[in-house]
Amino acid sequence: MKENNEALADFCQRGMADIKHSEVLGIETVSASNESITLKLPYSLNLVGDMETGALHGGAIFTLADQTSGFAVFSHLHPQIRIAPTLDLRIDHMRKSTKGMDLFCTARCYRYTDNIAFTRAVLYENDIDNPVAHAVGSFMFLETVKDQGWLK
Amino acid sequence: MLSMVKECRRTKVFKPVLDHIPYAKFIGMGCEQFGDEYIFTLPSNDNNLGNPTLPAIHGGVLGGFLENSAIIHLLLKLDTPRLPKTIDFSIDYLRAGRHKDTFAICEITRQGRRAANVSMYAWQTKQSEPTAVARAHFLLEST
Repeated sequence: MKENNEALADFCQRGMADIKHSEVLGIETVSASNESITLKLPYSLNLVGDMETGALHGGAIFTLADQTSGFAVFSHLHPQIRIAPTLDLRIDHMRKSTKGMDLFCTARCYRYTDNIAFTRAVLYENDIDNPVAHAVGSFMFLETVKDQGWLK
Repeated sequence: MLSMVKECRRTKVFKPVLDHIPYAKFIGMGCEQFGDEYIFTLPSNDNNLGNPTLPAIHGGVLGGFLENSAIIHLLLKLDTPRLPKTIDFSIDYLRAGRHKDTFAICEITRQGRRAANVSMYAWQTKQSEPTAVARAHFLLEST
């Protein structure tokens, strides 16, 4: 069983306050362990892609996947911090999201190399076995880091 | 929706079709026509920032901007009565998106009866220096 890491969850939640776009989307930290990170995107009419169905726009779903996968890279390394911007991210949409439902994303980093971290993420509403989307990504560690004091 | 799209094609004012998609309004994107080309714009906006130190545009916004550019591009180029649905979307980030205006063009690589493949290309300072490239499949619904 994965163990909840309060310090890591707290780190994610504080980081989010500085990541302006995630903050305006209202993304929240649900849980964090050294294995996986779960974030939540609260449903908002501002983020709808199709007014006929009320489904969230793929872009909002994609942002949640990117944010969660990016934090998942920190999970095994915490409390050490290495900045890794997204190199690439691919998302597959299994179904449209449901009007009025908050969206969750659970991401894990399944492989690290010296330069690259590889992630997988699943996006769902109330049942992880009925996913809205899947995402896979690669993140590349920065060689030299400018002052990233906001991450401490 | 098709009548609105046709009106946008005629007037070359694309705000109505962009306003039809709440997310497009949320990130503040625009669209302009030059000859037969559509250029999509994402004006710099504090709310779209990710890394505050650089500062850089959130990668997620860049993805959402390109995905939505492709959707609008398909609406403008094809006579599809419903919004295209994203099947899959893949993006490669080539440079950090700086805190300034971003532009994008799209190309329909292949259009079938049910699905379309679209390539997207984003830049900031120079078109020859792409910020990100992306590709996606969209489901086209005839009814």
